Amino acid sequence: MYTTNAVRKEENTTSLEKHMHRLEEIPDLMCDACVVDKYNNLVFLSVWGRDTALQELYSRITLAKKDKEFGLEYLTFKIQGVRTRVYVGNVKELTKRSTRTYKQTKFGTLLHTWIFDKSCIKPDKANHTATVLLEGEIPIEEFAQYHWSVIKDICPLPLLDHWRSEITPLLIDHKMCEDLKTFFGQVGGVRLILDIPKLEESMGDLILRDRLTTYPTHHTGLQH
Amino acid sequence: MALIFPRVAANFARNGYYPTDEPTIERILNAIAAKDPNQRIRIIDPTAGEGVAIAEVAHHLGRENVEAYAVEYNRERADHASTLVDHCLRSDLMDTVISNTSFGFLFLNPPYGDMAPGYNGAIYDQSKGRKRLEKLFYQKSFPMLQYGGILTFIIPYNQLDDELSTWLCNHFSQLRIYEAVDKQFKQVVILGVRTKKSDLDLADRKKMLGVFKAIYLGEMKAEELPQDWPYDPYLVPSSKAELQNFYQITMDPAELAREIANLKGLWPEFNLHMKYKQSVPRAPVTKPRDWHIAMALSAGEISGPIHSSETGQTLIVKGDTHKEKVEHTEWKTEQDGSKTFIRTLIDKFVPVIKAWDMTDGSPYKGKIITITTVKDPEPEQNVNNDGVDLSSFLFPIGRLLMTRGIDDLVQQGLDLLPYVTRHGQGDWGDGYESDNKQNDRAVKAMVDGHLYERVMSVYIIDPENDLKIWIITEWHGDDDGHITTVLLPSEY
Repeated sequence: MYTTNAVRKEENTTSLEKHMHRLEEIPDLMCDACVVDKYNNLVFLSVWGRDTALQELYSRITLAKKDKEFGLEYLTFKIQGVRTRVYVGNVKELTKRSTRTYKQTKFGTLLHTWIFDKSCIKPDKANHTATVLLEGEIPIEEFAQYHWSVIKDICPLPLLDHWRSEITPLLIDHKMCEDLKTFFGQVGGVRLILDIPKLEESMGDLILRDRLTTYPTHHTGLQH
Repeated sequence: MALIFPRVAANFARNGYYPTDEPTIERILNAIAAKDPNQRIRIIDPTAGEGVAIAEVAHHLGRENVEAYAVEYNRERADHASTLVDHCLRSDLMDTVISNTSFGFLFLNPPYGDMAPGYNGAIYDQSKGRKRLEKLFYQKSFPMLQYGGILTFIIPYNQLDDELSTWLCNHFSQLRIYEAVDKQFKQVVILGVRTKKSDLDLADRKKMLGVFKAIYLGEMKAEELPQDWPYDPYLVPSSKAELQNFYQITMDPAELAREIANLKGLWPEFNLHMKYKQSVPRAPVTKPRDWHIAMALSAGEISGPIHSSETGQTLIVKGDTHKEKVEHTEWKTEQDGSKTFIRTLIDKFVPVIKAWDMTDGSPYKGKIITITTVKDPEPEQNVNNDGVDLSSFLFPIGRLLMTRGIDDLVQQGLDLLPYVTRHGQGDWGDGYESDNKQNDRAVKAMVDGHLYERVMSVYIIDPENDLKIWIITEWHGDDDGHITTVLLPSEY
């Protein structure tokens, strides 16, 4: 496998090609989206390949350290000429979604698979954490709306919708909301890690100062 | 001395690309016809160039009934060919998987040239004579033809050596050979019908071998391909079976990107898979009673501002129920008298209702009021009933087992827990220094929270009576996990 890859000629890159990234450890797998956290741990990976190669990927990242020869603790991509490692982290926290097998493509039978952190689809209410992923170009307001609905979901403190503009900066200031890194592809996201005691203290303070009120007040600043 | 003859260099630079000349293609068309009009015919050009030749064959045989396949290595030419044929791979032919006996017509105008020694397509190269690209491509391509399928093979006459002639005569009947219209490359056009070896006419075979040899040696000159085909046309059979394989092995990023543009994969369902499904609270269908309200609150169905006219309070409430693990530990006596320490985690549903006090003038304004079934806070969650702080343990002790001898000591009043705690915290007791170092290494080498090598502690209970206990922790695989055994040295 490695030798055939070594003799493979470098193709001219076209505009289409920049979306596909070959996985160096398993060259028969191509990835079209990759999102990681601030430690370069895998959050979301979109992979195309044949069933055999995908099975190889699943098994090798599951083995990780246990198998020195075949285990994969990280995946390597060449991104804009720079070799970049994506760490698999805790494989038990990963899950996957796959298409049916596409038969008779130009590369034989192909599958499309997403490997991602379970927190992307299941917010952890006990620990008040969640990962919010979005695909494509999302209008900022739509994103903010969805983001807010997830915050309301994982926060045990009562939140009112008109508090959004006060609370969202609070989360950023206290580092409870981290942007995830998009290595390539059309997926981006944030990770929410709510610190409830800190949030309770800050919000209590805002309530006492009447910055958070029971009903929306219309101090828009516009002169009538 | 030059690296390579300039004329040959031009050939290789174009990957041996010499498209078949237009008049030759036209005259070949005159020699072929569809055997079963209105039935599907599958045709292939494995070295298609811009795909002109195979596209013309497709039109000639009746475009709507023909599935045209092409393989071309050069990207630009492949791009062009893919607009003319139904299926086109941009690939080295040697990197493709194409089903055998699946095509009714094969148009083969291979690249011409000598092969480099150790060429990596050598698995197809069964040649014993001069190693030529023509032979490699012939060997890879002719099996694609169905029996009864028609071959059109274009090569320079001076490559028709004994070996290639023998191959052709072994695989094909009704062979005919003509000179191409364009004389520049000294090409001949060979037509034939793929035939099982057992069905070959040996006299014909011998005759054709003689003709090929004479042409190869230049003793005889093939006629030019006739403008008006004087015989019955070669009949291209229909292809009834489905084509199983037609793909390239090596993943090419650009080609894959194009394929994905068609397939789309999981992408259209991104929101379906990756967005949380959030329930939207609905208004109750009937006036809720108190217990309805209690249930709905704890289920998180009621949230928002509430005013109490009785107390004058304004609260913003939110209810929710989440799962917590409750730890339960017990000693269990087995039938053989040994005892097992069992630690069970039970899911427990905990309703929590929280409210902001928003009442102006209230001393609790801006404070959270909590109603729940569990005591808050629980600072010492990791401490079990017996006071063992499991969080300080360097490795999981898992199930705790003791032998009959130890059980007897426990009956006599021995408290094991301090020893188990020391063991868990890496105080290996009174064993040999080398064993203790081995234990330290085993703990350091832990992977995914489990031990690969066992750890063992020795504690002297009563030095006068030379009474010692051993505590051994081992990992027993994913199913059983860790097991810690307390035993007497004599019971080992």
